[in-house]
Amino acid sequence: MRGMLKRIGWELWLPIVVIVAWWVLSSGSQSFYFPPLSKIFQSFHQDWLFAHVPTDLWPSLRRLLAGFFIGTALGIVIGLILGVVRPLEVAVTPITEFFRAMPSAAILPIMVLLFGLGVEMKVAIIAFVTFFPVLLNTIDGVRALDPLLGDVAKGYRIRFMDRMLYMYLPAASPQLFAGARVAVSMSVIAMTVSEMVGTPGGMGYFVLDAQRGYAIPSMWSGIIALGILGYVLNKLFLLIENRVLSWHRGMTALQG
Amino acid sequence: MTLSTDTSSTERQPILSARSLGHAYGQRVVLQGLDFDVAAGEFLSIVGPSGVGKTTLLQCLTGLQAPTKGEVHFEGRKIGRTPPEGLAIVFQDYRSSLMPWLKVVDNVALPLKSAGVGKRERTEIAAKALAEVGLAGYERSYPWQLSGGMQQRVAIARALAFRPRAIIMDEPFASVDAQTRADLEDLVLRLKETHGITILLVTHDIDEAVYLADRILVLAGKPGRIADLIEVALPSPRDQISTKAEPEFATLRARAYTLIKQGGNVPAAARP
Amino acid sequence: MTTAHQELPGRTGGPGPGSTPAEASGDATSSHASGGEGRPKRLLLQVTGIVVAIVVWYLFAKGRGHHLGVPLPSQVVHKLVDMGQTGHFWTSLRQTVVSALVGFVCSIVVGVPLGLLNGVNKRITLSSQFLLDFLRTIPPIAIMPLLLLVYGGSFKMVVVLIMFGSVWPVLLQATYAMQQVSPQLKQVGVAYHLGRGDTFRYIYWPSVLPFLMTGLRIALTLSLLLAVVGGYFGQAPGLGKDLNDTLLGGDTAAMFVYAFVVALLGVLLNTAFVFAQRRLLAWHPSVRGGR
Repeated sequence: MRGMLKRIGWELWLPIVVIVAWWVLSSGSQSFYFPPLSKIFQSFHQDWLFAHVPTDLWPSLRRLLAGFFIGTALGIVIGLILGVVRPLEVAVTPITEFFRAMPSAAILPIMVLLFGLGVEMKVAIIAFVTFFPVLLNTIDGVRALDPLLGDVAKGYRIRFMDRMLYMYLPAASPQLFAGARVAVSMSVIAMTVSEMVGTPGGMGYFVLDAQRGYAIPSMWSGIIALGILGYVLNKLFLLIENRVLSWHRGMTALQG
Repeated sequence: MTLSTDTSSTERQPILSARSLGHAYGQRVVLQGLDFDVAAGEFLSIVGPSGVGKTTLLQCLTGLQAPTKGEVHFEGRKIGRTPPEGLAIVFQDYRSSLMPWLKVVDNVALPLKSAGVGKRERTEIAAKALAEVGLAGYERSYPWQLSGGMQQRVAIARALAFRPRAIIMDEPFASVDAQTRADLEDLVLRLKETHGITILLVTHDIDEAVYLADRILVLAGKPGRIADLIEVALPSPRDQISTKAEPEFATLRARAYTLIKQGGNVPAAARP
Repeated sequence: MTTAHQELPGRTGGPGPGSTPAEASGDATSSHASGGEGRPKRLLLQVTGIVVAIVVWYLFAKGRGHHLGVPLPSQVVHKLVDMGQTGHFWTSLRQTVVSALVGFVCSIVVGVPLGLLNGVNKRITLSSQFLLDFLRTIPPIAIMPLLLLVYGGSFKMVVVLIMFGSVWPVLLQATYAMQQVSPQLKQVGVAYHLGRGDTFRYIYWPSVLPFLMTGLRIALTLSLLLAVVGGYFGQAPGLGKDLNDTLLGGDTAAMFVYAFVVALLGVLLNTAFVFAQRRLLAWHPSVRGGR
């Protein structure tokens, strides 16, 4: 118990000091772009507790989740197929390597071209950005399957679907989750980018709009809100990952 | 030697037979001219030095690989490129042959699931199999939480739950310590007596081969050939202490060892 | 735990499970004989893949994509050639690459020392954990409006943006790397009474380098991305700005050209980096090919 408190203490003291320092140092600030922290907190309270939640936070989150799940699902399914059917994977590699290197900003105009400026474009770009890390990591995960298990599957006449669900997918899941973890951060970026370009609404739009209207404290509150969103999503993801991969953690812990 | 032409009531058609079996990897011939039968309910040990092709033979016998020459028949039907129904395999590397993301009971039940057995039934069968190998109570553990010997028991339970007519084991006890090995050997003997399953066990350990088997197939030479098929006339039930104290045990062991050392070139030895 | 190592959204680069003769049936769908991985076969497969992709593109552009304005592959090639002949294209390219590299170097200069320091001591690592965790999940794009206000649409803005995004992978990998230094090696240093400087140079630094490289590679990709984003939204001269112009101007073929150029740039930078990494880390087992 004491050990845990100590640990928490070490983790918290610096953030607290930083926030306090920021508050104190900025309290008398006259700078237009760097208002006092107290004002920012005020703005935050006004904007995000809970006025803009239904209008901006919730739609953003919905689109993010939709795009993320689409991208992940496609990435897993296609990754499983490509991981198992080697020649196909070889053939597709130059294309995937190429698209993987295409940042969301570069693909943005094409997405706008194909999907317009509305919700389809936003979801599409999030899905696009999520797809590649998940795909590539799933392929690697599948290839890392112990070859002996192939013999086991043959020897015990395990059906194709069962092989996919109970062998290839779980074997690939540690790598898969690593890819998905990257995808979480990338999809937050893609979400923000799409909202700064597309139709009004969403947190990215909020920040941009605040900046254009010179509502600086609001702009800051939006930035902080985005940070919190990303942080919470990452932590949630880690929780899910720990749960699903508990077998893997146990195993690697024992194997040192 | 071979009993295939014997039509007494207890001997039926051999459950497994190899005819002119051979295998080559490209130009390299690993096995050649293997002809033998395995009777139903028999325990056949396959023994030979490292590298002689035991694993290759196993792969051909189980259908994991199609032999480049000759044929293998299981229960009268030729084995093609897939393992036939009614045959279960226990692999040497238990760590890699069990799925670390499935609990022990799920590992054992997976082949049954694929075969379409309902959840309640297959859980029961799996639990029974685990109890038989002495792992009752470990159903909900993960394989990697168990010791090496226990993991191999899980693999054996999986083979057992599969309700096969024959089990083929590839050096299953090579990676466990001597004491565990003795326990596992006795376990396998017990299972065979209880269920009347035919067992083929590949091993490099001559003592083990003699202890367990009804007959020993000695593989030797380059390329690997049948050096001899030795009848093991030791009393049953076998026991780690008394059986190994029998003079016949030493004789058989010496014979097998000599064959292996001489690379299978024993001049017209007296065949029982 | 190797989570940071796996953070790389790409290939592990290791060989697949080898198939020894005794395990020729490794694959569950043994669709073809092993040994078919010859270079010419690979090349053929990949060329086929590319050709198929282009054909699909063509069909789409002719069909449903037509009224959306999707250009044909031939149009894009044409455009590329045209653009390649203008000075503006190459200037933009240069500006983007330069800003990416400058930002990249700046983030290294800041990130590496801080990251190494952060990893020296468990207490330090714990103290900074929350802050770093939080700051690195702020999408750099979110602070762009702020940067626009402070710096306008300038080169400086882009560099600061890149630094804000790229410093985290560098810093975190450096921290992780410090934590991974083998305790045995550290003991060797103590046993032979190595001074501070020598300990760092001969024990810490070589151990840290491979891990650092992973972080640097991520940072490089990120730097290019942010250079483009910065130009796109901030109007700083470069490929990003040009990309934005094409959207406003409706030049769809140019859109595709820019997208491809940026992707190609990313691939090239990555390849160059891997090459340099191999030279630098020639002694490391993963490069030596030892296992």
